[in-house]
Amino acid sequence: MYDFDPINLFRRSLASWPRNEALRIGDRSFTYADLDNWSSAITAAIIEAGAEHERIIFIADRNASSYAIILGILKAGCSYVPLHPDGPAARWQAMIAKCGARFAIEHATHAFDVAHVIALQASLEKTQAFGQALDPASEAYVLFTSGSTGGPKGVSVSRANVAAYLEHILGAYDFNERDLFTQHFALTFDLSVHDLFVCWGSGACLCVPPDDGALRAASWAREQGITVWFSVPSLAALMMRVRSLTPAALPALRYSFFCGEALPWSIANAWKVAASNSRLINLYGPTETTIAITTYEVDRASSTTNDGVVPIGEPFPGQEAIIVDEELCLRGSQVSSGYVNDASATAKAFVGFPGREGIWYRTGDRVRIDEDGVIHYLGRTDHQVKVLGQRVEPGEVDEVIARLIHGGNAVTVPVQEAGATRLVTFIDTPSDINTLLESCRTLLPPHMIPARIIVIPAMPLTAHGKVDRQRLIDLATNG
Amino acid sequence: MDSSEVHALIASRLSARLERMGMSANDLTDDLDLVRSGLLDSLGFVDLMAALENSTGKRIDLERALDVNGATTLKNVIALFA
Repeated sequence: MYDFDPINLFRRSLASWPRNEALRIGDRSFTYADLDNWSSAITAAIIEAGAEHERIIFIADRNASSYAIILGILKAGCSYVPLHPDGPAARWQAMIAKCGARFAIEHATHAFDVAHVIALQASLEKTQAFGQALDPASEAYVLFTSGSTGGPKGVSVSRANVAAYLEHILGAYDFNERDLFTQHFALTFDLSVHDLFVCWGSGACLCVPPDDGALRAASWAREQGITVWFSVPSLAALMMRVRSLTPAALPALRYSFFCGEALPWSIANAWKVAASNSRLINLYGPTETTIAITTYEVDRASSTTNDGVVPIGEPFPGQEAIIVDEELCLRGSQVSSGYVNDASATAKAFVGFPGREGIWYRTGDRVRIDEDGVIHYLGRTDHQVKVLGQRVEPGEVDEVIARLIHGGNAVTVPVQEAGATRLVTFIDTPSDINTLLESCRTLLPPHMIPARIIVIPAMPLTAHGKVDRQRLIDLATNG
Repeated sequence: MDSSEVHALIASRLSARLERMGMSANDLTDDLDLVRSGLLDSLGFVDLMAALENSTGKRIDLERALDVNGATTLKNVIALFA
């Protein structure tokens, strides 16, 4: 297990291929030796600041420095807490308060309100090797997900959790030091941990697409010579809509992984045609179970179906899945210890079952298992939705907007528009919508801001007296 | 359809979004980048292209059209359909 610590993997590749390209971003390129030196300087600054087993905050923009910072923090035996560059600052502050971080990496345009701000310049020449013990039980990162009440929840993931994932993935596929990996996922999204450390564990090169690259993702992949693809299905859907998924459009791909959302068969089939030399693997897993924990390989384009979604498959070897009242529950070395400083949310989601050993994570995902033991995703047990792969609890949006309209009711529902999920919020209190949206931008991250806010006289109710969400979805869809 | 008609079509489609951003049709200048300005996200941009294809009856090689510098500027979009 210890061998698969992300830093040990990076160091193994560094020892074998120090001059291999490790990171390609814009027109800049860094070898394993470059990244190692840079991140060691950051480790030195962290140790100098007195951080030991601390959570360290940083703004995770898509600059080369973010990648060196993640390595630097992990080398120091500390845990990284990335903040999305789009903020907003109020949400950053809530996250810092929630995880109690006392250290932050200095940022050019944002002054952190924490005890210690670590400056990075000037220590670049300190490149000695560090003997920091990398304790598998210690925390590797905290990533925040939407919470239905009380704001974002921070998931604490240990180095051993990450090592268990990496051990499985690196053993299951034959990546090599000539591979070129995509880096589509925001560094605040746990799927980016796969991008970085599956790549660096293979001695391969991580290729970061430009910020506005989604519209030309296929030609970017061809230019770069990408061999290992990993994204949300939504990006493939967009590529299909701009008619990029033509036969053999992505000939260099050897592996294509999708995760973060249900993968529609229509997209899997189109992808198989475009990436005809590639294996296509659908991964599934909440942040709480570390990156992904079940897998299903699409062997060939399905000739029988273009409807529905690809199964989520079977748990990785050594991880266990059971279904309790249709809900998928997971247990194993990838299951995290819970939410930071949130005992009640942890107790609700991480539970024991009578007659079963250990702690199980309740995913909130409704599934069924077929006669071959393959798990099929059916939907949610609650109202959670995915916007470009990112979890949104509509209740969190409702809470923020209800506060802004001073106690009126706000109900947010997902609406499918042109193959993508958008949020629409209904309120029952007359308000200036543009002002309201402006306020949302200071309180919520971009993917949680409603595409529209609609005023209605009163919330429609079901026969049981609950808000009739389906009726609201119909209202939002039909104008 | 000539370029002023395509311009008008885009302006009418984007009117609600412009208002939400505190902008007006006057802000739709040739060099405005519809995506980088934050007016549209990439999905919204593809929606706009699909709508323009429908309205003009012109089918675009989208992949090639998007693979140039400034692909998402207003003048480039107008040039594709005018």
